[in-house]
Amino acid sequence: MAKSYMGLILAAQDTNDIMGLTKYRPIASIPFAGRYRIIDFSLTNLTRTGISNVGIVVPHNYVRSLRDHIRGGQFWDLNRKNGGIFLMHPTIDAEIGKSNVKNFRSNLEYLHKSKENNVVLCSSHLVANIDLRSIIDSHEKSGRDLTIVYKKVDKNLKGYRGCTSVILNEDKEIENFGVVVDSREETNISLEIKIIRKDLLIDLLMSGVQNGLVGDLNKFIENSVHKISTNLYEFTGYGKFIDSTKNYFKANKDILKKEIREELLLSNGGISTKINDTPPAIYKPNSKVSNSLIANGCIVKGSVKNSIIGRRVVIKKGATIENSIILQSCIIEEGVEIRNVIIDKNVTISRYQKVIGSEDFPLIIEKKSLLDG
Amino acid sequence: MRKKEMIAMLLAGGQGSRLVPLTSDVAKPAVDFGGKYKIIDFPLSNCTNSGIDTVGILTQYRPFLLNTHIGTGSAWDLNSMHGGTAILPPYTTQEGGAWYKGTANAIYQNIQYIDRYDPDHVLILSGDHIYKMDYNKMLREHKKQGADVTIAALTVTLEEAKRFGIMNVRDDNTIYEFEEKPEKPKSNLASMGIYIFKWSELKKYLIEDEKNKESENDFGMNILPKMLDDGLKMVTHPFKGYWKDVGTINSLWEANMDLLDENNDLNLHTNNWKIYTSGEPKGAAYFGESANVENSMVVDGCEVNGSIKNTVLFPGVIIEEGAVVENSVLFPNVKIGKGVILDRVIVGENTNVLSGTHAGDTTIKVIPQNKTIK
Repeated sequence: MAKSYMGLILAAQDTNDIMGLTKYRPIASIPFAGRYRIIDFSLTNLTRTGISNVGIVVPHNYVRSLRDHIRGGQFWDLNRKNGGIFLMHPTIDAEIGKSNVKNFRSNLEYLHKSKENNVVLCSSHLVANIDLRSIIDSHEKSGRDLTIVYKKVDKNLKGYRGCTSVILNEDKEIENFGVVVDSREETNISLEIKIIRKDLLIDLLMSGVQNGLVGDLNKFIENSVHKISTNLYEFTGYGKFIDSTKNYFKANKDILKKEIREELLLSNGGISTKINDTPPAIYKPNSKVSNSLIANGCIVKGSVKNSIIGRRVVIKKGATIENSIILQSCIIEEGVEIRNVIIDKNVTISRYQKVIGSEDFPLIIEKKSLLDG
Repeated sequence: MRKKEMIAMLLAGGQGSRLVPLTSDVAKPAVDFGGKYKIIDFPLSNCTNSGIDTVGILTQYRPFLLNTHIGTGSAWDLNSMHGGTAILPPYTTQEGGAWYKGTANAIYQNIQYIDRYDPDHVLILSGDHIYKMDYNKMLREHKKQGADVTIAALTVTLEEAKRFGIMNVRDDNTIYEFEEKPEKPKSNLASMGIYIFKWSELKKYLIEDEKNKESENDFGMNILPKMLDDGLKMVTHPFKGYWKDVGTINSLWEANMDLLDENNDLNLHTNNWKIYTSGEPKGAAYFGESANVENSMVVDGCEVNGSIKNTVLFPGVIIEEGAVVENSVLFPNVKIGKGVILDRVIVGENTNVLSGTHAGDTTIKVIPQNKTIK
């Protein structure tokens, strides 16, 4: 079944609301939950259905970080002779930013050459563990040309502002698409997962470009929805877009809840990611850890509470970390106090410093770049 | 096939009879060690880090899990087009077949594999020791000395010496006497079972040894003494650093505990000599509100809600609230239930310990794998 499906991941997202962490990387390769990168979720969702050909529409800048993570695709079984992983770079004539349509246009040969007849489209900034097989099943049973996946969001659930809402009529058919401005009432959110016939996608792209349409591929297909027979699929599990610092902070903190951790990281066979060969973490006498995730390679002598600690972080004696996210290879020196902070890779916080943000506005300490002085 | 200066042959068929019950389902080299590794990861990683890109792995006893672990060799970057890993089990020929009779016979049966790479030198390794060693440095000395054989050597206590091949050497490290497991050792310079041979010489001796019906076809018992008698140049390569034979339950436990020492000599937390392993990635370790962790090693995929002290956990271990685990080693996917007390215990893979107090005394207690203990 999955042999007739290929995957396309849109990884050229707008990074305006998550600037601190995207200075040197796309959203797709922001570290998450101590050891993953955000794109691991889309890659795993796709490949474990048996899909063995995945194209990734990459942003025009800072692709290095994403390439370094994905390598030859071996960690998702995508190091294949047929298909495998294909990075779709924007060509010089494609407009930068969100011009996915133009990017596709310049990479159309890849779509033509792929032997699969159907495409599963998804975005790289969705954190969700989804069994795509059941969505493909639903698509095939419906006999329609397009399937759109949505999630019903409770009016109390914040964090979906700016997402596309799927507006349904009384017959549960799509009436229109909108934008979430406020969460005053229950809303259906588009998870930006779509299944479409490949020839139809190519036709749409060709006619679109001819008619001068550029922009985001999702919007583009959504605009064409009245011309295409469409099937709807409701996903009821956990799903969050990492599109702002606040949502990033919240989604990480969500992993500390047992049910979410189990669903997101363990169900359907878990999430695959690049293997780094980091040794187990060591906890010294007087270390104190509670309600926290701590990745391999850490050396912990201080105390950690309600936090997520990435690989190879050193937490020295007397340091206290609370309600914070620390990405890999940071050094937290003796006596440091940290609360409500996101610290990017390779940062050293010197002795007895206090770094304190607020829960609603976590402070971001930027990555130490090799180019910085 | 490209000619190689040196290839490695790793003897990994060992049954590990002193590690029972941990070796009832796996060969000794595939026994778990150090929170996420298997014993064989150490010689394999040493090969990669030493720049050796061709490794023949001789398997025999219970090979399935070992073979699965090695796979294509990609975890050690040993999935090369011109070499990489090859699993070499015993096989039959038109004349019949035989299990590997001894260490030398195992290499003898794979002469064809070695000849394919036409190496100048062959490195013989065993898959049951924990250490980091630069084999390339050893090769450089071997060549500089113009030796036919170089044996890595370690200083042990006179008491321990009885278990090893013991060498007596001159000031320039040349060996004039070699005794395999002597009753009364004359020195405390022990062979680590790591040899570099000039391949043209070794091949001659292996063929000759095979014809000798009296021979036990063993390097230490037969090949090395014979070469020395014949006047071949044999030298030692002195090794300093952490080295541990993890052939017994107690030494396996000790080696795990050594890792908890702040300044342990093996130092897994260094980036310049990584130990590689294969396995699926798991999420970061989770510590609950009531967790208590002291002087322990915890790896990705664990969940700790109870207390652990001086303990090494492997991936997927779950410690429930109120459980107290001390001085213990818990293999992958072990579950320790509420209120369970463990002290000086090694728990085999996939075992659920639901209740009770379990403790070893002078010897370490082992709870076998795939069990449910109520």
